[in-house]
Parts: sequence; structure tokens; C-alpha cells
Amino acid sequence: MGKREEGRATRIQSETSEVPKPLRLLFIGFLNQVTKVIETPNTDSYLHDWIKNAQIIQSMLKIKKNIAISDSGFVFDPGTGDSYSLNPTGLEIVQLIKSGKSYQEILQEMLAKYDMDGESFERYFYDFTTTLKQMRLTDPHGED
Amino acid sequence: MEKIKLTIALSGLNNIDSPGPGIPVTRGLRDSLKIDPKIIGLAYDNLEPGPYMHELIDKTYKVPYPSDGIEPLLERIRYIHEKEHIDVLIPNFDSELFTFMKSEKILKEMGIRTFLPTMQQFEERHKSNLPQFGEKYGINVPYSEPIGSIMDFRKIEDKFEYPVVVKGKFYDAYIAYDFEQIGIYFNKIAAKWGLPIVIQEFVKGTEVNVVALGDGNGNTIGAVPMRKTYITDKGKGWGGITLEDPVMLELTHKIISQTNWRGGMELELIRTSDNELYMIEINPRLPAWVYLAVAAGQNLPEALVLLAMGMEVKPFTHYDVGKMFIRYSYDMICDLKEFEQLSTKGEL
Repeated sequence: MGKREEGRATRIQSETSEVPKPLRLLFIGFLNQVTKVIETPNTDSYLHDWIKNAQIIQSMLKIKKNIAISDSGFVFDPGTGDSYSLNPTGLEIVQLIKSGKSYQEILQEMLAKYDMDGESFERYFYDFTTTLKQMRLTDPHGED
Repeated sequence: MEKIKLTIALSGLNNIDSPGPGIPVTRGLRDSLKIDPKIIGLAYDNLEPGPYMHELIDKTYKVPYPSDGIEPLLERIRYIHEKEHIDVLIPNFDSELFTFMKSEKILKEMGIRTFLPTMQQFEERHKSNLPQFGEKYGINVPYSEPIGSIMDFRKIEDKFEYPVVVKGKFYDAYIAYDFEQIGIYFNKIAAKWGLPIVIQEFVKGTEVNVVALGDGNGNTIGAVPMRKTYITDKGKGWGGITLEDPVMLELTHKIISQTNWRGGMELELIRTSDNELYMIEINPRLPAWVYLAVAAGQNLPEALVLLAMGMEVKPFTHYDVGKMFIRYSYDMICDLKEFEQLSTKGEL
């Protein structure tokens, strides 16, 4: 086992609840607390911001190369020592981003798999990726 | 390979809520595949836990406080050496380092080896000299000034913005938000650790640390960066995790190579939200969390002893990232007879 894998080997109990349908947001939370639910604001101003920033969604987001993500949804940033817990949906999306898929490809996959509308997903996706950026888990130079 | 039998005397056996590094250093030495150590504890207080931890400490001697002067301490060391034939001595307290550095030559003549910073290295990294240190070696440091009285601060108040950090020359640091608080902390620290008190610019960010070992020729033998994940109300790390941080390591290598640092050190750094590193302190010894470095693959206590013995030590090239420590407290049951023996005879 490599050095990085050793860090990843830590397993924690992640949220194991079924993926809700239609998709709801419970993507990411701090590990050291009870998994935090990021509430999605649902106001007109939020929607306005969302439309304004829709371009960001279209760009390709990259997760930092050194971020370790285990199958359980445990995320470890070796640069800061911070760790996070993703629920299964969040993990699925992070893995899709990490595999280099574009937003459109991710959207297609999620629409095929889950009962939801594209507009809602886009809003949730933007909210989620903004959180990832705030947590400095994305590569600041990684966007196309 | 056969292990080298060595008698190693060390202090810092106060494995309490603000722990000394003696026990973690001992654990590193006990883990060594190269050294078969006999550990001689040097204790200042009858209630330090180390002397009663017989699976780690073979024999303990009480020693006089450094403030009693060099001669009483040397006399006691001479007595212990006669009985135990000490090969290497590792002082683990900041407050005793000066005394042992001053006595390095005498100890060497007695046949006791140490591996300590030089007096110049020790003096120039003092908290009160930090701005000059930063300027000399091109390192970001927060602005600071030493003061001898609270009224001294009035004269330099314009140079600072609140909050500021009020620091003792050896230990203790408090964040003060106004002049009144500076006065309170000044008196509190001065009563315990003496003067000067250092007033330091407050740099907002995350505290990160590096434990490192320099060979005295500018080479870094080992270095492991860490972030405290749990901090006690005394500011001590009760949990920590090793980091992958090339910038912190580069800074450590730079400091060690430019100063030709000899011995163990702990770098205390602040990483700002802009990802800039500020050095807030260099502790001239291995820290109490050194066993995390051992567990991550760098047995720095072992390397320090081998360097003290004049042996060649190859620099460590890797460590495990994401290795964690979680400190815990434990009620050790001790026999009154042992306490009596240490209290009355000064030996256990």
C-alpha cells in the first residue's frame, strides 16, 4: 500500500441512507461534526446569482490531484489535514468530476439515473461545486 | 544488525496536559532498531509521571532547577554519570537548554555527548530577535518587539494594531485585544517566566508546525509537517495529523541550511488565507508531538542520538501523510514507596 493509500485507508461510517428521489442535496459535511447538511437557498436572488454564474457550471471543474477520496465518501486533503464526509450522492458527483467528465456529461448521467429535472440539478450542482471551491478542494487553475 | 547499547539521559518527563517531550522521545528510542537504550530520567519534580513509567524509564534522578545555576546541575550530572556512565544527554526543556549548551564542553570532557544548537543559533532565533532573524534569512515573520515593562508598550503602541500576541520568553502566549489585557497578560507571564515579554503582531490563519533535525552542517536529516487537529485551552495539541506540504518543507530546509542548525527543532508557522507562511517561533528542541514523526517513518530521536555519537545518519526521504495522533490521559497507579524514594533519596 502506498503512502497516500495509507491515508485513504481510514474508513468512517458515512451516511448510508438511500439516495432520495427526486434528488435532494446532502452532498458534503465536515467530518469532525455530525455530517453537515448544506442548505440550498431557494430565493429569487439566489436564482439570479445562479443564472449569472451559470457559465461557471459549464466550465470543467477539477478536483485537486492530491485529494484522497475513498469509496466510503471520506475525503482527505493532505495539504491542510482537513477531512470531510460525502454522502453517496455527493461521492458519485465528485467521482464524475474527478474522472474528467464535463458538466453536460454529468448532467446526462444523473438525469438517466435519477428522477429529477435538469434545472434543479444545475442549481444543486452549482451550490455543491461552490462549496467544494470554498473548501479549497478544487484546483484553482483547473477550470477550462 | 546488532543494536548499539547506549545509556541516554533525558529530561522533560512531565507527561502532563502541557507535556514535555521526554516520554515521546523515549518512545522513539525504544522503537529504534539500531539502539538498545538504557533510559535515565532527569526529573525536576517528584510528581512528574515519567519516573513512575518503568516500562519506558529505567532509572530516574532528581536534578536541581536550571535557575539554581550551572554548578549544582553539573555536580548532580557528575554524580549520575559516575553511577550510570551516560553516553548521550538530551535536554528537552527550553528553559534548561542555555545551561546545557554552556556546559557542552565540560560534559564532553566527562564523556557525555549532546547534540544541541550552538549558542549563536539559540540566541538569534529567540522570540525577541525574530524580526532580525526573518530579515537575515528572508523569512516572513510577524512584527514583534520585546518589552521590559507595560509602559514600554505605550512607546511602541503605534507600531501595532489590536489584537496583539503577548508572549513569554520561553512559554505562554495570549491574544490581547486592548491595552488593559496586555497589562494582565504581561504580569501573568512575567511572574512565571520573567522578562522580557514579547509583543507580536497577530497573524490570522491556521497554525501548522514542523518537527525537524539538522546535522549542524546545513543538512536536514528529517522533517515532518503537522497540523494540530485538537487544541487544549492551554494551546497544546491534543491531536494532530501529518501534512503533505512541500512549501513548509522547503522553508524548513532553507532555515536549517542557512543557519547550519544543529539538533532538533520545532517550527511554529501560521498559514494565512492567502496561503502565505509566517514563522512565529523556532523551538530549539524536539517537540512533545515528536512521536508522530516516528510513527510516520522518521525516527528523529534515534537519528539525534546517532548524530550525537558521531555516526553517519542518512537523511530521511519520506514520511506517511495523514498519520494522526490523539493524545489521552491515563490514571497511573503508583506505589507510595516509590514516591517516598524519589522524594527522599532523589532516585528511583
